[in-house]
Amino acid sequence: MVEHQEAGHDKQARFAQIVMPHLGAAYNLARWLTGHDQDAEDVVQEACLRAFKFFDSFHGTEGRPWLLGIVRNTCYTWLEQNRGHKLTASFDEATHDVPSDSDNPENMLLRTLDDRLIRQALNELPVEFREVMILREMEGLSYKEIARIAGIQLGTVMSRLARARKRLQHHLAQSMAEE
Amino acid sequence: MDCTETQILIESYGDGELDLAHSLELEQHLQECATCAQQYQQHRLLSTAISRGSLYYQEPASLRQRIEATLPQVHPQLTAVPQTKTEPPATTQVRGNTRPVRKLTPWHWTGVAVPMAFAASLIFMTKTQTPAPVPLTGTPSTTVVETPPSRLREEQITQEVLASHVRSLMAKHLMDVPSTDQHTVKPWFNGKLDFSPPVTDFAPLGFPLVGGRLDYLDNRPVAALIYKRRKHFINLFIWPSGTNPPSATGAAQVKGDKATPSVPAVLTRQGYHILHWTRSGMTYWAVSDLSEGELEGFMCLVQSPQPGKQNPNGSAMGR
Repeated sequence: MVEHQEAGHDKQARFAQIVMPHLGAAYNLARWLTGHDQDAEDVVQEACLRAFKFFDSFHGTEGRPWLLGIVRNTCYTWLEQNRGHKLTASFDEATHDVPSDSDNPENMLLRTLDDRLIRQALNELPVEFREVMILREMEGLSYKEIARIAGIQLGTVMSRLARARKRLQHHLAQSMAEE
Repeated sequence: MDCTETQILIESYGDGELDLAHSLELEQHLQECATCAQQYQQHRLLSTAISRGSLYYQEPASLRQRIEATLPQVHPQLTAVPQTKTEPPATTQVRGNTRPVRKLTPWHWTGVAVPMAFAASLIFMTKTQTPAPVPLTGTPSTTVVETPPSRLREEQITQEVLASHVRSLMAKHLMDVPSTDQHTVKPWFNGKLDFSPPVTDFAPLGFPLVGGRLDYLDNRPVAALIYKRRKHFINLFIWPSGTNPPSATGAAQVKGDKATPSVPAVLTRQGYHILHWTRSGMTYWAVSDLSEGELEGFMCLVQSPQPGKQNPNGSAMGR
């Protein structure tokens, strides 16, 4: 009984040490993927409960990518239930490409782009593209870590990032032309 | 390398995922080809725009409590005990981190003898204000018999560096001189330290300098430079390595078994990453909650012979 409590306490301490510092990253990802404050909070809470449940099977030291992987999966479950969003397997990358005439948008002055435009452009991306951008640019994760989190091949990470960037540049160039 | 090849590799390069050989070739091409250079510039601009932190959603303050309340509680009174009086009530992140240290690390006790010995040996230096390069080889090993002193010493400094980093973030004492201008920060240290730390702003490469601070580590005043990467802070501590026993540089290699001798290993403590190295007579310790790869990228920048501003296309972000 005492031993059981000790183990429980130890687990909780380790969880507080390894996982809880990354709540901010968890929330940011969930917020970007779900698109809503309250939904993001619910998803993070659910993800943390899952993380705690499966914490015994986690033997690494990198709590952030591990937690983000769980948050990501929780988000997809949530999206599926609430938006009827299909999971990655059925995601057809070819149909999400941009016209090739936008390959090299001229004079795209990103320096002057405000957050509103970038936010809008990011939100316009299919969620599969958005997640790799968030993980790469905001969390600074490596291709390998992203591949593990999203459950895709390394090459897919690279092609999604490339396509996401192309679309963003295309979108931003258009928004700027309109304004 | 031609344009086609460059087009394929340019993103991996920008993401710091390209190996050194290809990075060098690509840099060579960027020097010569305006079209590819412009494309790389676009990549950098987009990347910077997204990663600059203002797009990062801040979690509500209530979220942590809400989650902590739903996690299974195993005797909460125990978890509260090791929280000593010296610690301010303070940020949750730190609360989660400080607690297990005392409990889980046996060296915390064995290490006590070492700092004492060092304190004793270093008092001499501090008192006489001797400038750095007085070798102290052998002094500590006479008092500590069983444990390799360099290892213990490294662990002790690691803990000091970590504590200092955490404290700087939570006590709202991140900077004594908040400035993004290296020409303001560097002179600020004059008269406060018996050495002049190298100060470079890496803003063009995504690691802007945000300020400087005087800190106290390894029984001596040290320079702390604060850099930012998106929303993450990096504390870079610098002091003359003359006050270290020569083995101190080797200590990093002991830790990273798989690392090649010249590459310091990333230490991970309580979710933070710590790197240390010596260069041109200075000891550097960098600590942050950034990912290992990014902290290594930062180290490459600091180590690069040319200042960041002169070499915006440098290979510093490479792994």
